[in-house]
Amino acid sequence: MAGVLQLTGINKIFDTGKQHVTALENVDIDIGGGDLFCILGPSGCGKSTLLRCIAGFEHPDSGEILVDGKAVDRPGPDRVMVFQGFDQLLPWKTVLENVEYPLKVNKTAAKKERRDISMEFVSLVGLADFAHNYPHQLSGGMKQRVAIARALAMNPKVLLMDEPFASLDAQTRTALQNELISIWERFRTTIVFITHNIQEAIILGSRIAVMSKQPGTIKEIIENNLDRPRFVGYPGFDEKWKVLHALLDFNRLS
Amino acid sequence: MKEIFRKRVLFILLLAVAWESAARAGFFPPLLFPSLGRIWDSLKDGVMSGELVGNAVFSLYLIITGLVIAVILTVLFSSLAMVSKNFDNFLDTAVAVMNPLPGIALLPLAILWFGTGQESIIFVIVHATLWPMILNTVAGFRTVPVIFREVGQNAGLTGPRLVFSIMVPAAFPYLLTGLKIGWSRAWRALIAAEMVFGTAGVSGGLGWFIYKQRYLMDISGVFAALIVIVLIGILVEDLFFGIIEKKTVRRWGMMV
Ligand SMILES: Nc1ncnc2c1ncn2[C@@H]1O[C@H](COP(=O)(O)OP(=O)(O)OP(=O)(O)O)[C@@H](O)[C@H]1O
Ligand SMILES: [Mg+2]
Repeated sequence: MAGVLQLTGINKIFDTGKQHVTALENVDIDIGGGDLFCILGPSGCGKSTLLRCIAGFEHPDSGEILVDGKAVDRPGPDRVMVFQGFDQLLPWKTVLENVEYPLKVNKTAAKKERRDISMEFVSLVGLADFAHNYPHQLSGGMKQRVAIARALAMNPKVLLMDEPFASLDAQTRTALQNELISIWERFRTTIVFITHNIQEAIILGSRIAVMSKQPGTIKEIIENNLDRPRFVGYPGFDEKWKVLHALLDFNRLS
Repeated sequence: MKEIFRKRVLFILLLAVAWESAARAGFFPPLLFPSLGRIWDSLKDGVMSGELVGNAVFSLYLIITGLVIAVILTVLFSSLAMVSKNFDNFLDTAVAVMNPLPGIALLPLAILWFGTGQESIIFVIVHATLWPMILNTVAGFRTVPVIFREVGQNAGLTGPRLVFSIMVPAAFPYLLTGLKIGWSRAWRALIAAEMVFGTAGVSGGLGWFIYKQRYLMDISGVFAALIVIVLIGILVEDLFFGIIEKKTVRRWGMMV
C-alpha cells in the first residue's frame, strides 16, 4: 500500500516584487494508500500552498507530484479539495445538487443511479432532511458536511482537506472529526488533512508531518499508531502532544 | 409581491383623484388636459380598434429583437474578454467610449446606413443596451469568487463549460442588473426613435402613435399611449424581472 501520492523536491517561491516568500522548499512526501496524512504547521508556513499544488490550482517551481505514478499538473476529479471556508458550495444548487454535480460533469453513472449515490452520501453526513435546501439555509458545520459528502461521492484517489473544521466551534469540530474518522475507516480513502491544531492532528492522523516556516519545509514525519478513538489524556496522547509541540517550536515564532 | 401591488395601486388612485380634480376644476383647456373619462375612452377605442395593441406589439417586437441581439453579443464579448487579456482591454475602451453616447444620437447615422426601416431602430436599441450589459457582465465575471471556479475545475470542468456552468450563475445578480438596465434603456431609446421616425413619415410603434395623435390634436389618445407605455414598463419590471429574481438570486440567497 505505498505511493498513492508522491511528492519529490517540491519548491515554490512567491515573488511579488516587494516580498520574496519561500512557501515550499524541497518537500518530499510519500503518502500510501489509505493513509490519513496530517500536515501540521504554523500559520503562513505553506500548508495551503502545498495542498493547492497537489490539487493543481498552483504550480510548483520545481519538483514532481505523482498520483498513482502519474504526474499531475492541473486540477482534476481524482484529487478533490475540501476548503476551509463556508463558501465552497454553489449557492444556486441545493445540497443534493451540489453533491451530484461533479458526478454529472464526469458522467459517473446514469441519472437515476447518480441521484441515489448522491443521496447516500448526503445521508452519510446526516443531512438527508436537508437534501433539498439551498446552502444559504445551512449552518457552517452543515456546509462543511456537504462539502465532505460532495468530495467523497466523487470517489477520489486523494481527498485534500485544508483546515475544513478550523472555523467551527469546538463541539461541532469534535463531531465532524469523529464523522471523518468513521467515514475514513469505512472507505479507506487516502486523505491529506491540514491543520494547525496539534490535538486535531493527533486525533485524526495516521501519520503527521510537521512543517516549519520561512522556508516552508517538512521538518519531520512521525507515525501515529495510538488506538482509536483517541482522546486527550488517553495513554500516549500527551507524549505525542509534547513531541509535536517541541517540533513546532513556538518559541521561534514569538 | 402583493405588497408592491398594493403600494402601486394606492399611488395610482391618488394620482387619478388629483388628475380628475384638476381636469374638472378647468384650470387648463380640456383639449390639452383631458378628463380621465376621455382618456379611458381613447384607451378603449385604441384597444378595440386594435391600433394601440398593434403598435404596442410592434414596439415590443422591436425591443425584444434588439435585446436578444444585444444579449447574444454581450455573452460573446464578455466571454472573450475572460479568455483574452487583449480583447478585455479593447472591450474596456469600447465600453468607455460608447456607453455615454445616447442611442438616439446615432439615429441619423443609422438612417444613413440602414435606411428608415426597422433595422435602424433595432440598431439604436442594440447600441443602447449592449454597453451597459457588457459593463455589468464583465464586472460580474470579475467578482466571481475564485473558490467557485476552483470547485468547478475540481469537478473536471474546463473552458466554455466552466464559463457557462460556474461563471454565469455565480455572476447572475450582475447579469440580471445588466439586463434590467438594458431593458429600461432600450425602452427609452425605442420610443424616442419611433417618434423621430414619425417625423420621417414611417409608421409603427407606440412612439410613432403618440407622435401621430399629437399631430391630430388627439391629446387623450396621447395619454392613452403613455398609459400603455407605463403599464408595459411596470409589468416587465415588477412581474417579469420580479419573478425571475424570486426564482433565482433570492431563492439562492445571493440577493436579499
Ligand atoms: N498567491 C500568493 N501570492 C503571494 N504570496 C503568497 C500567495 N499565496 C501564499 N503566499 C505566501 O506564502 C506563504 C504560505 O502561505 P499559505 O497560505 O500556504 O500558508 P498556510 O500554512 O496555509 O497558512 P494558514 O495556516 O494561515 O492558512 C505565506 O507567507 C503567504 O503570504
Ligand atoms: Mg492555509
